[in-house]
Amino acid sequence: MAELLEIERVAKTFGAVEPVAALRSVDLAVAKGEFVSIVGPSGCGKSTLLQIIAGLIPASAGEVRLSGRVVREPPEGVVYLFQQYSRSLFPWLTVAENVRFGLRHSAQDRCRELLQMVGLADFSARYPWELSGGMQQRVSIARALAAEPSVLLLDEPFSSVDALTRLELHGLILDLWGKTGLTILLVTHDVEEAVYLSDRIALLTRRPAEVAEVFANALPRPRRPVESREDARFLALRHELLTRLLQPA
Amino acid sequence: MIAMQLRGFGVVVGLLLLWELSVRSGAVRSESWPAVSTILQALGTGFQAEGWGQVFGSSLRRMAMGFLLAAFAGITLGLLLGASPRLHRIVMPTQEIFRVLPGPALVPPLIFLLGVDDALKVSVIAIAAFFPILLNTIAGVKAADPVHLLVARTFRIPRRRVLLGIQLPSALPYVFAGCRISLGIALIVTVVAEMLAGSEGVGYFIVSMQYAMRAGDMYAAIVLLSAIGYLLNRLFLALERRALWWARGLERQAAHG
Repeated sequence: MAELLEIERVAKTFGAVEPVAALRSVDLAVAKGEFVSIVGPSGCGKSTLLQIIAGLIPASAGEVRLSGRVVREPPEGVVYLFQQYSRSLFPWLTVAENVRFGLRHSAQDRCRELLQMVGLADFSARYPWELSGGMQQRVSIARALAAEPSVLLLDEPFSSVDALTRLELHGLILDLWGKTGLTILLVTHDVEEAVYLSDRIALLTRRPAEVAEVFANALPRPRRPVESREDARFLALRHELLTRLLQPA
Repeated sequence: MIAMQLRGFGVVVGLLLLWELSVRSGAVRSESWPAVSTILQALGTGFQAEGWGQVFGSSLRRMAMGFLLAAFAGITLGLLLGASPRLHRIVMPTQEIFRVLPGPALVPPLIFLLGVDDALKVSVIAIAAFFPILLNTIAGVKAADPVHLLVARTFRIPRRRVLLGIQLPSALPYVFAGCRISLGIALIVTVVAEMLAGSEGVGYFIVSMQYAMRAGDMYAAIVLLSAIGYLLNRLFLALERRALWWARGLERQAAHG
């Protein structure tokens, strides 16, 4: 299978005077249409890696290629979804205007369609700060889809909402992924979330991070919020990942 | 809250009564210390010959022109300087030097260049009102949420749209605060400039009434000036509340978690 996204020996060091190595050397390849998660201990540089892939910050060494082209600036077709939904939406714009911000041409119909897809058709004239956290993250998802990305980079997008809302958002993102043929790369510290959502899981080591191992996920699709979590394959992979993460340094 | 406001209002009325009494009782006998009732009479007759419209109209027009010029220049330049650290570093020293100059000090040299008419006064008002708006706009642009700017980058939004669509709205609360300071400065400088040069407007009127020993008219103009300053500030606050209601909504959200 042709790889859409290739991450090759990507390293990142912060600071010139007293350099701190965040990423030692990360290799990972993601095929078109795949849902891959990156998990690792907190502070291991997961978000840094995702921002390098998004072209938002430069790598110190190595390179990221999208469809064979080296990523230096945010490339077309890649959208980064931020963890802080309340800070990523524009408070002076309505929900619909926020979504239209992502559109290339302000097509009214497309905006309505997107809001319908995330279940917020009735809230288009409201402002983001009038909505709950889960709804705000739905707005940012709609806005991300408005740019018609081929790759969606998710930076712990479900970590600051309550547990039930998180399950709803998982359902929504799987649904959208199934419908659009998107390629999704998710960074998370939540092992269950990674196992529930993805095809493969890359486990990072402690800082400075490398890929310790990539796990293929045998959990069948479609995933169901309750049943899938009780599946023996789900439990086995969760067990393996958690054990590895909790190993003392 | 309302009780406190009433009490504050009571203090003002009390002071005015004391003033009235000081004249009526004969405690102070002076041509330059008219009774409050005399001042109110002067207000009522509209400064006898000249009329308020005549006296205040031209002042307010000059002030508005100077203020609008300052706001336009301050916001435009502030946006550019706030968005470009390099440009900011280049312009900063010049800006620092001019900023500390008291506006009225520019009146005599500017008379050489612009004469004593409106061009002079509007320029002096605009120069004095310009800096608070400029500095606040720069600070506002820099205070834009870094996440918003990252969102703009991931969506590949062109620079111009980032400036007008993200950095300008982010800066608005700061811009309004700067404009409110400048509005007060514009009124002060208007009156001072009219006192120093020219032959119309409220500044000129107050000085001429003093020379003419028409204390009633002089005080009437001062009272009206203070009322106008108060109203302008109130008007501006109302405008600010309308324009920045989203910022208040955001604050409420933050307060409730």
